[in-house]
Amino acid sequence: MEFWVNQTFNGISYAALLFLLGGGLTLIFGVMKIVNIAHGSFYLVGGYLGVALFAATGNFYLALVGSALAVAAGGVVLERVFLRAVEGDDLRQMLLTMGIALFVQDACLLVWGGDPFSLRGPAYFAQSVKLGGFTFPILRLFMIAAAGVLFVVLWWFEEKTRAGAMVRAAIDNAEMTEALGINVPILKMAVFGLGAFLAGVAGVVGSAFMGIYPGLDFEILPYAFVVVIVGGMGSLSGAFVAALVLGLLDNFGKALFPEISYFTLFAPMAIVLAFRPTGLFGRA
Amino acid sequence: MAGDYAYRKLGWRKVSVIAFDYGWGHEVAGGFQRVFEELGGQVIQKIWAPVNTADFGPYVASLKPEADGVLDVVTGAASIRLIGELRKAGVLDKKKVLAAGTATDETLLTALGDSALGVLGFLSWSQVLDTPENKRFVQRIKQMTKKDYVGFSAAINYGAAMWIAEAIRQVGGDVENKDKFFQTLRATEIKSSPRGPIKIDKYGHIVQNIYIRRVDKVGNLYQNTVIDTYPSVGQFWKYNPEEYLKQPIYSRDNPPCKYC
Amino acid sequence: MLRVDDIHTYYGDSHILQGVSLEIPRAAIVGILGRNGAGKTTLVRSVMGFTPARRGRILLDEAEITRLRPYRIARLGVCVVSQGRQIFPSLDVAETLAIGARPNPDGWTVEKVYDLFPPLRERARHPAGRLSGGEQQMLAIGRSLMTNPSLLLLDEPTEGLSPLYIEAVGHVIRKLQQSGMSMLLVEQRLRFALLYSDYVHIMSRGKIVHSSSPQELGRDADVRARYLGV
Repeated sequence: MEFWVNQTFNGISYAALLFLLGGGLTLIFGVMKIVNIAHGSFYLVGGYLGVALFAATGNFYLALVGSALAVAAGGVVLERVFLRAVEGDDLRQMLLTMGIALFVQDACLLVWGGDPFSLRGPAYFAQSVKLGGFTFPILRLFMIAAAGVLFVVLWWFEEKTRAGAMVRAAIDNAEMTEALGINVPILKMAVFGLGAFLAGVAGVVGSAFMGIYPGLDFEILPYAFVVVIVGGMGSLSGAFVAALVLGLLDNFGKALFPEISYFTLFAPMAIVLAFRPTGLFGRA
Repeated sequence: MAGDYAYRKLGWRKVSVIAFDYGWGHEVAGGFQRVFEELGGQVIQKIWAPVNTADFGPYVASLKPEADGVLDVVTGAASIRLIGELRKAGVLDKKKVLAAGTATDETLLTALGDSALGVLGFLSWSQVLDTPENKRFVQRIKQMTKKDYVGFSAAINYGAAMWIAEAIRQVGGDVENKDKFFQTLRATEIKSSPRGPIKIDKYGHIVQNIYIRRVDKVGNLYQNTVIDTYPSVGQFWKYNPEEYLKQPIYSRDNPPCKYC
Repeated sequence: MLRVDDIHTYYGDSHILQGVSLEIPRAAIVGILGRNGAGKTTLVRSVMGFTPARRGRILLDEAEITRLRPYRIARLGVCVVSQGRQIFPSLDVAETLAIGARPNPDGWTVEKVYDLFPPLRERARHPAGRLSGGEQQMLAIGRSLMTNPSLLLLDEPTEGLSPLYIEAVGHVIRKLQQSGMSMLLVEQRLRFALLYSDYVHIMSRGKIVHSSSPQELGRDADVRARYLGV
């Protein structure tokens, strides 16, 4: 019993991190129609800034919001200044994000050096709560709460507001959306910023959960891809469901069949691609 | 020797092993298991974790409660995750963890923070090793880097450079004569490197002290306090090199996990 | 209302529109006929700003819009009903009508669109992708009306519709014209174009090769045979 409760809980909390990571990437893919290779860089910078802000202020939540907003601002600049310059050329845009990623990697090494950091966060992050005889680490609870709240807010925005309908329209058909007088360039910039914001949040939460160090940007990128591919490109709900499925599969895979650890994330992706190339919630 | 320490000094009889799934992890875990089980201990669980494991939660949650201790053969940034997880899941409150030394390398101590307090490790050096040579070395590196912590790599490579420099001195700088130089190199012993005396065996592998270290906090800084020393440990431990080399190499399934 | 003045439009290196000029007076319907690949849709795309003309000028009420972004052109009172309808599959009918709404004292509202196309009212909460072809065309027109355009670009609005729906679309076009709206009507159906246009142009290979009243074209079997194959 304890095994199943613990492992399910672990899986859900890992899924929370996967969602924060993949959610932003899927949003950006949806409106921009490009794979943002710099997404790992957003994560990395978010993490480092979070560590620095926490060291300066001692307030984790301030560090979380401040760092995520800073990364969002960086994303907006990237979209406005660089990606806009080669608008309409998907391949060049993607290569540009690749270049930015390499640049950010070196810049981070220059600024923060090669030693790993870990964001300690408030003292209770290291503690656990006991509930019904089971132990739940508070950091993992926080991850679940953060991802849950962000998903609900974003889902409500996308599905229930007029602005959200505009975003969905732009994902379906950007040209036609613009012909209705909707300022699609601003919309793209905002969504890009929002995607970067999510990556920044993931970076801060991730650095508390698994540390932050050079090279992590390209190490976590495949995880983001897996979530987006399994969930369906551009679908927020898809990313949410995919993260949950993958988090649980990965966790139980590792716990029950340790010898297949290498495949627990990527085998589901291969299977989904084989039977549903557009992903679980993908649009053709 | 880690198996020896775990059995004799820590009094462990049953152990869980969690190790990186590649050559280094297989070797360290294999050597430990062999010595530990020959003394009468039992390795009751071996978990092979991929090198880039992002979340050790599932592994830590499946550690068997009946084990007396955990052997941790994970290093680098992943070590922060594993030790953090061992702390958060309460494992470190209940039992001891013996780690391959670089798991608590000085360069990781800040990031590890309080989570690693009390973790034991075995390694050929510690920043706070109390010898005049080491103190001088640490002070000079700190002056150069302006950092509080000096890493293991700096110390052992410094020792290796000392060893090469000593051999060069002995041949009077005549390194062009390669045969003579390598002969001298093999025969060279350094009595006082930062990590203590070093020499090499006839197979070209180092013989050195292995220190048992414990992560402590002194003032604002963390350190690997040296609590025990195994002097002049070579690669074959107490085994006969000829026979030892006939064994198949350690792998995932060798030695087999008889008590799993 | 709209003046297109010798525009040249390219897709990459291919020179599609090779000097097209035309005018659309207020409350007039100008028909564009021509075979596939003649450049009709490119003309619409140039006016809307999707594929801006590299040379020449497009003036809307004397203001130049040649290289404005599509949303700025839309806000000046131009909208398009694109070929193939270009419905948003992830929006429902009500959302589709709402996103482009640009309220205007006696302009179009959701209610007025529903009055014009009663089937849409019943399907208000249906995903747009699940509507029938005819309903999708109603939605595409309704969506454009919500922006209260003074100039509507209709790119083959009857394509793939049953005779009943074709008649309905014609009825709506007439009604919109009576309310003072100008229209550019790109059509493959000669009869439909002749019936509703005030003036017609025939395009071929990126140029306008014939311009006349619909009555004249109706009488000129030679031109019809040469450029339209009918």
